[in-house]
Amino acid sequence: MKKILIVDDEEYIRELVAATLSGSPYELLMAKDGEEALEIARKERPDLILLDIEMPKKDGYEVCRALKGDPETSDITIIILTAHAQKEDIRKGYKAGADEYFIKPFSPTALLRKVEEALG
Amino acid sequence: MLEFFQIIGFTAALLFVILVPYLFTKRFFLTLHTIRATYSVVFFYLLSMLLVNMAIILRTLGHLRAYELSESLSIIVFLIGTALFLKNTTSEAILNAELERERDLAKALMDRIGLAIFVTDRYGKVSAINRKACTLFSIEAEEVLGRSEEDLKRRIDQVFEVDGDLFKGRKGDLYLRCRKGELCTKKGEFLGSISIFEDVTESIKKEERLRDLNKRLSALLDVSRRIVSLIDLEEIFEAVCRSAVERLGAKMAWIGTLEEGSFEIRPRASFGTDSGYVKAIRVTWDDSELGMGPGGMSIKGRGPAIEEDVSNSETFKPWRKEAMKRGYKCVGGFPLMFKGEIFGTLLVYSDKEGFFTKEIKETFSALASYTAIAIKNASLLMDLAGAKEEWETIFDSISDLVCIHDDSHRIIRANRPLKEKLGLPFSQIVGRDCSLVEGIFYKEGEGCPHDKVVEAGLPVSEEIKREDEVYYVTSYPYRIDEKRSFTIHVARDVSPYRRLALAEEEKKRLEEVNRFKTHFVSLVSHELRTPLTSLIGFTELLLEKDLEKEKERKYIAIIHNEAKRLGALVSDILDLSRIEAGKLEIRKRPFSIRSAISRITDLYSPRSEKHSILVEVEEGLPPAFGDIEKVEQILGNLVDNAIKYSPDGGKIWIFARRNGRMIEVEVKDEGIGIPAEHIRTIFEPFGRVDTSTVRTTRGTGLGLTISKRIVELHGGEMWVESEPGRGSSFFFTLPIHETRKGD
Repeated sequence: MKKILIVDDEEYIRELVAATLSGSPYELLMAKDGEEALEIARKERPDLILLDIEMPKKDGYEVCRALKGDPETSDITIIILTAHAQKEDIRKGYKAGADEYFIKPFSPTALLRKVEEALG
Repeated sequence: MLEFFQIIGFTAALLFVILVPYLFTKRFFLTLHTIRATYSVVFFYLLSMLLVNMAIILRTLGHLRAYELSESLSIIVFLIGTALFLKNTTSEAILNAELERERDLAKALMDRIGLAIFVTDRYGKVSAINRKACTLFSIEAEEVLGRSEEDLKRRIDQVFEVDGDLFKGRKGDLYLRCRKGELCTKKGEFLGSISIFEDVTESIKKEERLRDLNKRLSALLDVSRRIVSLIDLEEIFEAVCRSAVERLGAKMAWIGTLEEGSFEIRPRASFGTDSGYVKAIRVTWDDSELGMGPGGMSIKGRGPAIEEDVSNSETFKPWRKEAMKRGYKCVGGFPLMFKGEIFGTLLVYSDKEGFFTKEIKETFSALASYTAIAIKNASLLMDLAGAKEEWETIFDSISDLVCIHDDSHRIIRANRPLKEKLGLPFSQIVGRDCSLVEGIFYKEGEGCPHDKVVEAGLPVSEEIKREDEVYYVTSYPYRIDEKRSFTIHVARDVSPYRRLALAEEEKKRLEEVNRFKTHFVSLVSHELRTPLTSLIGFTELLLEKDLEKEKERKYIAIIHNEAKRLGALVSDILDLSRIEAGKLEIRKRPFSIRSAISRITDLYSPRSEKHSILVEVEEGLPPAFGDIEKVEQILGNLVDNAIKYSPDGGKIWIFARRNGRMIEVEVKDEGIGIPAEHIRTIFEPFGRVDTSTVRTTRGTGLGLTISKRIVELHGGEMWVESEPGRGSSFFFTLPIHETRKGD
């Protein structure tokens, strides 16, 4: 079963994403800040990370760069899921190594499709 | 015989009777004075004839005795007369001889005397003339002796011009002064007259020289007086040339000046019978042929250079033809030199040979010197006038207000801008006491800083506000000596700079606002998206999925919360934008801070069991002045934050105390505190400290921003002190409601 790590400091969003993916055969992991996200990612080696940007301790860009820069974790698919909707932010996300960039607010159906697509 | 005697006798008697009274009249007697002896002889002869006649008459009458007696008497008288005659003739000869000798002596004396003398007798005939007179009048003594004085005078007139008693030789310089005297005997008998001629040539010449010198000196004086008062050089040159001719006897004169970087002598003015001479010639002061004339030489030799004979001088060759055409005989060049500095040369032409005597040279040298002085003067005057004008122009064109006054505070100078500022004519500014400019150069009621600055020897500056203008005033001391000192006040209107600075500030502020707005919009968009994400996401889930009842309720609760948050956020954004636009209405009233605090504690105390709110308000705290609702909003916000950021519970204090003229309110908690790096941004929009622990109870992120702005609108300040892990203290101040006495 594929592992998906949901990273977001907002409890409601974690809950929303979890609810979105709950009907599918994925193991869901949760992290509420950047550091926790890195820790879990390295330990659990998820197949996909849904990564928020604006978080305490370490922001999404840093987490993304850290994981993509590390050969151990660089193959993890990262989808940034953020309210930062400006072009500048998106470019920054891709530059940090993200595979996809998904803007809040989002449609749960669309997100599910995106996740399925990413995991093949 | 007797008859003959008778006739003689009668005739003699008759003559005697007629002549004696006549002879004895005084006048005749006087004229005959010298030959009285001769007369007595005649008298005796006549008397003897009378006696003879008497004898004849007596004889006729027959008185023979008487006849004999008178005959004898007549013989005796005759004899006496004869004897007298004899005696007289002898002494007269002797006298004549003596006279002759004396005449010779007189003649010799006359000849030897250095004076010319001639004598006329009482009939106006020339009786004597001495050798000197003959020589002087070019005549021979024989030609005039015995002739009338008029004849002699005519002769004299041919060789002398007579002017009263002065005889001026028609040839050469000879002057005679004539003195004429009458010759009389001791008794006043007129004998003739004598004319003595004295050679006064030397003294006349001396006199003439003196007169000439006088004339020249007065001419020089006139010229110098005139030219030193002139500023225009051409006028000076013109005047000098004119007076050289009109007053000092030159035929023509011209002035040439030296040109910088050239040996050319440039003619500047001329006067006299020129008719193109100055234009026709060229003069230099180099070593060429053109520099060898009197002009060039006077400059090179630094003194007068005279060409005595134009027609025959080698050095004057280049100009000879032109000069001779105009009849110039000699030329003098006189350098225009003053204190060793040479400005040019004065060239003087004369049609008289030997014109340049020592005196004339001196005169023209002096004239040239005066000209040089006048040039120097003129240039100094012009410099001075120029400098003065320049200074005044500068002084007036300073846009600052400038006023200079002396130590008795009397204004001695004011520039145009000050005049315009005061709206008074200079005449009503200069001379007035400096209190006239009080309020411009020093603050009203503070007094003029003159003594202060002069004593310190240093300028003082201050800013003086006057109506809507701001002046930056500096008072400079200017001390000449112990007794005399001045103050120079300079006031610069800095209002434009002020306005500019304000405009600059305003511009910066606007840019800041703009930047803030852009940033704010992006922040807001982000902040709005988060609750929207929940709203959209959960509603979609609710719509799309079949959910358990429990989950459904949970999601609906989340949606409700997030919708509320969105509402609060929108309302805060509106508040903030109203504040930023200056449209937030603050209704200031006096109010009790204590009651405001107690309302807040009443509101918040029940919300959390973990927290206890403590209030400490200083005794006798005066009422605050502000918008009570807004202040309660701030207090609520701070207490809310305090609760939120002390998740483990604890005490929350609210202090109110007096701080100077303000009331200071502090809200203190024992919460997580704020990391140092966040203190700076804590009051910025969405600058809150995000911690996962408090996320669930998050606010809009605008509370502190709005609070700080509201405090500032009240004229207060807001700040924070915090120690991470131990808690934070938020402070804000509000103005005290000032009550007047008796209120």
